[in-house]
Parts: sequence; C-alpha cells; structure tokens
Amino acid sequence: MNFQEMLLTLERYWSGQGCIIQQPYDVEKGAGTMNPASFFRALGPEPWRVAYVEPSRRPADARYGENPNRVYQHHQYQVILKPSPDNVQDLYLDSLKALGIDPQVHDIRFVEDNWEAPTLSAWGLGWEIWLDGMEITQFTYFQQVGGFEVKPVAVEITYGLERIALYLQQKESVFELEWIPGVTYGDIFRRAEYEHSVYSFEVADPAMLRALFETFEREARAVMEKELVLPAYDYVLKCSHLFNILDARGAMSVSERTAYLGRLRNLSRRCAQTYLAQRESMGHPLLQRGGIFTTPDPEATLPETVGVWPKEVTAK
Amino acid sequence: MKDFLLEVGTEDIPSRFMPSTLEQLAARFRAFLKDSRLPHSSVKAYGTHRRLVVEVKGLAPHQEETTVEAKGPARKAAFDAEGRPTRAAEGFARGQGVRVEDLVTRTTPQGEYVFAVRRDRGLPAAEVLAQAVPGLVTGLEFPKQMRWGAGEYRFVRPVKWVVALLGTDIVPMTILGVPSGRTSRGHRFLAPRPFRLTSAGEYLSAVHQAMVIVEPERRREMIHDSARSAAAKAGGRPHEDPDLLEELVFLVEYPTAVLGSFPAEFLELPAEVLITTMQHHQKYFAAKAYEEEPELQLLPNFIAFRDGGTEGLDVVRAGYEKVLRARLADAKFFFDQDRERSLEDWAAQLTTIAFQDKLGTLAGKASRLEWLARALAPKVGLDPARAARAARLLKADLATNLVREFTELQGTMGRVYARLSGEGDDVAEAIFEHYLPRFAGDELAQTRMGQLMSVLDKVDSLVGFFAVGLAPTGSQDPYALRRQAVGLVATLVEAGFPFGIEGLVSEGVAAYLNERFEVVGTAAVGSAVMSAAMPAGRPKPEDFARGAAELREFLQSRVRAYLEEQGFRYDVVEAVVGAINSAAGPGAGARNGTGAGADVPADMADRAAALAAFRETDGFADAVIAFGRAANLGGRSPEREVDPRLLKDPAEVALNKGFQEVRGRAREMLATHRYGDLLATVAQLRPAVDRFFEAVMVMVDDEAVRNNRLALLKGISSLVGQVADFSKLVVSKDELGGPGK
Repeated sequence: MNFQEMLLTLERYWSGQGCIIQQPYDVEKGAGTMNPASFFRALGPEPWRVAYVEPSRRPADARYGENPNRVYQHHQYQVILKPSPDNVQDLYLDSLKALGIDPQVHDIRFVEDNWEAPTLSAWGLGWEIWLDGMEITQFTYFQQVGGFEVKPVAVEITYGLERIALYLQQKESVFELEWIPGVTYGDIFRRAEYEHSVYSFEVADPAMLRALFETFEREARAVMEKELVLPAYDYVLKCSHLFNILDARGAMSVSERTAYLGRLRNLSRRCAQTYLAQRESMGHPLLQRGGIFTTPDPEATLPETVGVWPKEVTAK
Repeated sequence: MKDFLLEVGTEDIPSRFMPSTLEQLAARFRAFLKDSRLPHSSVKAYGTHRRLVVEVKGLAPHQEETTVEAKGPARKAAFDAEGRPTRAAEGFARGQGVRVEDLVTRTTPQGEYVFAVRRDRGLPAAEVLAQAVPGLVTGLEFPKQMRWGAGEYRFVRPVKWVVALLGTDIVPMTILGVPSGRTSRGHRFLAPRPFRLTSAGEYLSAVHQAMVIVEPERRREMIHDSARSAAAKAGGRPHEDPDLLEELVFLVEYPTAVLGSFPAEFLELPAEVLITTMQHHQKYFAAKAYEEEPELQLLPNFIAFRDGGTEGLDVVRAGYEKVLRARLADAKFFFDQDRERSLEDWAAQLTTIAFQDKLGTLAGKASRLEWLARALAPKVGLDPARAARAARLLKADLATNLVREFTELQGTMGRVYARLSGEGDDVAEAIFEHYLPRFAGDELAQTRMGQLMSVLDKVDSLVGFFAVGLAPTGSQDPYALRRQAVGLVATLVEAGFPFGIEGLVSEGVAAYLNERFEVVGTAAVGSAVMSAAMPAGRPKPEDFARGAAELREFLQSRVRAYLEEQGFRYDVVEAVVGAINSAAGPGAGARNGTGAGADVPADMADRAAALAAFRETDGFADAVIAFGRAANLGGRSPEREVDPRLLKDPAEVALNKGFQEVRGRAREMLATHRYGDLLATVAQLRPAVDRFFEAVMVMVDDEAVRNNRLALLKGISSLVGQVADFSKLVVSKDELGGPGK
C-alpha cells in the first residue's frame, strides 16, 4: 500500500464512522491537536467527530533530509471522537485492519502514555500503540484543554503516517517511501527538508523572529478583545511556530524559553475561554441537533469483522 | 457454600499500577467479607492489564446471625416511679424496632441505662455483595485516574464489562455504568468472541480456554522460563531485570517469547546503552554469554514477548528487529558524535540547560559545586583540585546527545565519556555515583569522591529548592526532595563524613550567595547566542535564610527517621538528638562544615549504636536513673571547676575523686568518637553517684557549698551528655532491678 492509498483508506474508514473529513489547517503547526478542529472542538458540551491529515512542522527535528526517520515536517492522521465511544479501541484496531495490518499476525500493544501539551494547557491519559515494537499511534482521552475540563471527554487518535508507511512498505528510510507508483516521498519532500533545515538552524534571524512574535502576540490579544477567536488563534499558532524556530536555532536562553512558553500558554487559555463563551452564547448548536455523528452498532465492529474489509480498500 | 466470581473488564490498565491494584482488591474484599460476617474458605485476586478478577471460594449463602445492642436513655429517665416506661423509653424502643417490654437494663460506668437488644439475622450473601461490590471496585486507589465518554465516571481506565456470579446466578449490580452479567471476553486477538459463563466455578478453565493466562504468577513463570530457553538457543541467557519481568507480566495476557538478533557491529556501544535501549525502551530482555568474567559480555540477541500465539511470529520478529536496529543506529550516531568532544567541552554547554527556572542553569550549579568541592574536600582527606575537577564534570553528560535522548543514562554515560576523555577513575566513578541513591533501597556511593559529590549535589539542590519555596508539603513532593534528603543523610552516615547539618546548609547557602552573574554579552557557542544573565525571580539572601531554616529542620527530621529505620528505639534516637549541642539553633552545632558539633549525622549514628549497646548491659537502668538525676540537678548550672576544699562529706569526696580520674580519659574518648568506651567508663562512677545522693544534700543554704556540689554533678552529666540526653531514655520495668538495687 503506497502513501496515497494509505491516506485514502483512513479517510474512507473514518468517514464510515461518521466523521467529518476536514482538510489540513493552513497555518504552520507542530501537531494536529493544534488545528482548531481539535483544539476548539474538544471544548464544551457539543459532540464532534472529525478526521484529517495534518502536515506537522517541527523545526528541531529537521535533519537536512539525511536522517531516515527524522524530518522537519511529518504527517499525522488525526481523529477526534467526542464523546469517546465505548468501542473506540475496536474502532482503532479495525482501522489497522483496513490498512492491511491484521492483529492476528502482529503484536499490537496499548502501552501507557500520558500526553501533555503545556502551551495548550492540555493533558490527557491513554496509550501509545506499539506495532511489533514500533510506536505508530498516540491514543489520548483528553482530560483538559486550554485549562478547561473536557466534558464530555474527547478521544484523540493520532497516527504517525510515515512510521506506518515504513512498516507497510518495508522500507528503511522515509525518503524511499512510495507516494504513488514511480514517485517517492523523497521526490516530493527531500529538497524542502534540506531548505527548512538550513533555514531553521543557520539562516533564520532571531531578532526578526522575536519581533514577529511580539507583533503577532499583540495582534492576537487585540483581535481577541473583539471576540474574533479564530483570527486571534491563527496568530497564536504563528507565535508557536516562531517559538519552535527560535528553539531550533538555539537562540533562547533558558529563562527566555520559559517566559515564551508562559506567554503561549496564556494566549491559548484566553482563546479557549473566549471560544467557550462564544459557543454558549450561540446556544451550542450541535448539541441541539440529534442524529449526527452516529456510532455504528458496537457489536458490528466486534471480532466477526476480521478480514472482511472490502477488497478495493485493502488492495495494494 | 458457593463460589463468587467478579471480573471487571477494562481498557488497558498501565502495567505499573497492576501489582498494587490486585493487592488492594484482595485486601478490600477480605476486610469486607469479615465486616459483613460472610464466612468463606479463600479470597484471591487475579488479573491482567485488561481485567481485574476476584474469586471467593466456599462463601456462606447468608450472613452470620448476630445480636446488636443499642444504648438508650438512663434507667431513671426510662421508667417512672411506678416502673412504667416513659415516653423516652417508648420512643427509643420504637426507633430501635423492639418492643418496649423487651428493653433491658445494664449497669455501665456512667450508671444504669436501658438497652435495646436486637437479633440481626443478616441478609443473603447475594444481596450483601450486590450492595457492596461496586464500592469495593470504585474505591481502589490509582496514581492517576481518568474520565471518558460522557465524563461522569472516574477510574483508572474505562470499564468494558462486568461478570458477577454467585454459583450459577448473576449478582445484579452496576459498576461505573456497566451492568453485571455472565459474559466475559477472551484474549483480544486470539479469542475475541465474548463467551458465557454458566457458573463462577468454571471461570478459570473458561478463561484459559479463551487464551488468557489470568494468574500473574503463571505468566511470570512462563515469561521467565521461556526467556531462558529462547536465550539458550542463542547460546546464552537473559540479562535478568526484575522490573522488566514484572512489567511484562502485566503487559500480556498470553506471552510468547521471540528470539531476535541485531547486527554485531552495535556491540561496540557501551553495554549500558544496549541494555537501556533493549530493556527500557523496547521492553526486550538483552541476551548475554553464560560467562560474566572478566566482564559482562552481551550477545547480538534479544528476547521479546509478544501478546499472542505463534501465528506470524516471523513477521513480528522482523518488526522487533527493525525497530531495534533503528534505535541502535540512532544511539550509535549520538555516541560517535559525543565522542568527538571531550567531556569538558560538553560541560561548557551546560549554560543552555535549566537547573530550575529561578535558580539558573546547570552551568551555575556546576560552578557552585566546584566552589563547595574546593572548600570541603580537605575536610574529608581529598585533594581539592581533584574534587573541583569532578564537580565541574558532574553534570556534563546532560549536554551530550545520547543523554538528551536516553535521559535514564545520566551518570552512566558521564562515567563512560570521562574515561574516554582520559579523566581519572576517581572522577569517572564520582560522576556515576553522585546520583546515588536513585530510588528507595538503591545502593549508595562507595568511593570517597563519589560520596562527597553525592553530598554536595544534594545539598545544593535542597538549599536552592527550599529557597525558591518548593519544599515538599504533605504527600506532595514533585521534585523528589524527600528522596534527596534521605539519600544525603544515608550517604553522610555511610561515608562517616564529619559534616553537620547546620554547617552543610550554611555552606550550601554561601555557594549561592557567592555566585556571580556576569553578562558575557553575546558569546557565540555553535550557532547559538548565550547570555549568562541572572535568572528572573532568583531568590534573595533573605529567601535563602528562610529556606535554610526550613531545610535544617527538614533534615533533622530525616536524620531521626533514618536512625529509627536503622532499628534504633525511639527514645534512643531522641536521647542522641537531644545530646548537648545537638539541638539546632544559633550557636549550636557545627560551623563551616566541620565536625565538632553534635548535629553530625555520622556521629549521631555512632552515638546511637553505642547507646543501644550500652542499653544491653547490666546496670543500664540504674545508670540512667543516676545520671538522669545528676543531669536534672546539675544540668542547668554553669560549667565551673570543683573546689576540693569545699567538699566535706566522704561520699562527695569519693565521687569527685572518681570523676577526676575518668575525666581525662573520657574527654579523649569523646574526641576520638569511642562512645561505647566512654559510656562504660563513666558508668563506673555510678555506685559513687548513688552513694552521693544517699549521703549528701545538694540544695543546702550555703551558696558556695551548693554551687560546688552542682558543679560536680554538672561535670559528671556533661561527660555523658555529649553522647546522649539520658533524661530522654525510657526505662521499662523489666530493665529495672539489676545489680546494685
């Protein structure tokens, strides 16, 4: 199964579970959790189901396109189910089957992993999923986001797509992965990896990054005053990315770094607070509407379904 | 008699929680059955990370009958003059559900009262279980709990199913929203279909058939044995690790061993790195040669455990091997990179790593440690230059790539890199040892240099964190300061260092106050720009003073706890702590880290040992009484020389003679810490002391005579008073009445 088929399989699978298939958010971010479709929608009483691919930028992980496993930008497949359904572990295992990973012939483990994102004032409990000893997914029941208790509880499933692809395609380097027949991951991203590495480690001007951080932070606060929470949040995301570049650049002292983290945390808390008030004043529209995000009968996803995924989905 | 079975199916519980959870479960059930008067033949808790199971064998069908007595009003209030029951008696009887004529009168220490005596026939076991079992489960304690779904319940992980059977019947109950039934589930992949249980008694065989080895001890045995036979195939044996074994026991329901291998070139990595990668990160056992002499010889193999059977085992093995290869390749890359620079070069990078927000960086810590090492090394017979060298490199490995990636190798890699950088063995070993003890019951530093570094590092951290206001409170100790303090005390005693608490804390504070923050401007280190500015919110001198006062008290209580843990009786510990100059406070104890004072933990341990041994000798109790009396009378008098001309009574002349004879020897024994000899020597004075008290009146009107007698008593009590405060010793009846009484 090539990279593209893998994406399509997951899109189709989670679409079948009543998820909205959204698209990646167009502001730089380090993880799919930061997408407003996760960060905001996890908050408040309204139900939500969404799935999307998220290209995630982590400047400190850049390796000039030379490391087989570490990259500036990797791809997450992000799923949010709120409230968390009773059979969510089975739903996840079925998604692996859809990818052609039959648990009968592999070793799949749910290993304790407690997730925390201090800049988002968010934490949760759950597992990392090991496939034959390799971590391929983070599975988290959000307990708190933006400093607020998450109730009902949203569960987040984040697939590490490159890792799963390395496994499915039996390759040793991400750059050798087949995206479509004849075109590799390296063909698409290697040059970008190199350029972003040079930029993040050698070229980026710390003074400019700091100045931009100040500007965007000011703007985020000003826009939030007008209760425009989404534009404000875009600037918070930009600040977060600037912070990541400064960090990769080695341009921050320890105390400066702590101070920046504190500022980001305050901004995301403000956003969460404003969003909650906004949804409340709107009367929580999704809460009023029945019949959305329906869960298929849990019994139907129990073991009987082993190996019955439609051929066109599992075909390589 | 029936069997009761409870199985609570859950999503995967963290394996580290499981042993304590099963212990709690069994204990809670035992206590409940006892309190509920439900006789039974056995209670057992089993489980895996996916199910908590309790099995009660031979449970009585009904609670035992009992009588319950309730105390009512006083007899006078319950019956009128004619002996007719009053309204108070009637009300009480009604409330208790007995007839008023059945009330009985009993005599209590408070007088006569009426009592209602009821026979409680009890309830059927099923009813009692239905009532109580949900609470027994939801009351389990976990280090972390979570919410899920609608968010109304809190437990370690979501509950999926509940089986509750008494014999063949379902015991109806609801646990965290899940109703009980008779349907269980087998192994997640090997036997995923739900299955029905017809009776509690068939549970074990049914669940085994469903490919779940539900008994932890059986899984432990399977893992242990199959790891050995798998390793034997590679010509060696597993590198045993009890923690990993325990973790695996609660990570699989049906363990199957997989023997895998990795390219032999990775054996060039230090064994610690290979073992950490395999055992901590991947949860595989490393394999090693049978022979461990002259040193541990790893094989290019591992033994991993799959949760499942043998189907597709080659695929699983290939996966395990691939992941390990990638990790080892990373480790090798970092190791090679780290080796290109000396450990000293890495130490220069510590300016980029925080020690604590308000206390600055690890570079600052290293410079304080260096300062302390120079000051204190001579006092323990170490070369200050060598000690300063060790101190400067102590934290350097935290800057290396490998330790940033494998944080648990801190200290271990420092030792490896120190050797590779040509540092001496004393320095290399001290780098490893300064982290000891890493957990309760861990080994302590053994080399002199390691002991000193271990002490200095802990003192510096404690002084800093207390000044910032992060002292542990109650059960909250996020920075593990209690463990550091315990480790500090244990190391001081083990090393026999002459450092007192007072002095060490003062030195630790002085190191912070001597720290200078130079704004270096912009020094280029690699591509980064560093500033060594003073951290925002750094504690002020008065914060250090307040923190130091709290820390001294904290450490004193740790010393007490330490001595009691060593098996010394409470009163022995109190007596040792209460010895002259032991008490904290201005003017007391050691200054400048030297050992003249009595708040030296190593010295306190010696004195406690001497006192405990003295306690075993004949005449101990009499000595306590005699010297206690001497201390009570003379203790508060000023020290002054006894004037022999003022001694009149033969008893006081004799006592003074004895005192003058032993005084010189006793002082010498004190100076050389021979406390046992000292106590034995002074004890010889005891008959003379007894005779003195029989014959001599101390508090006479003649002031000069009185003061002279007090001076004599003071002198005697001072001899033992520096070992212990004898007035704190508790003498039991058994100990009294030895020879001389």
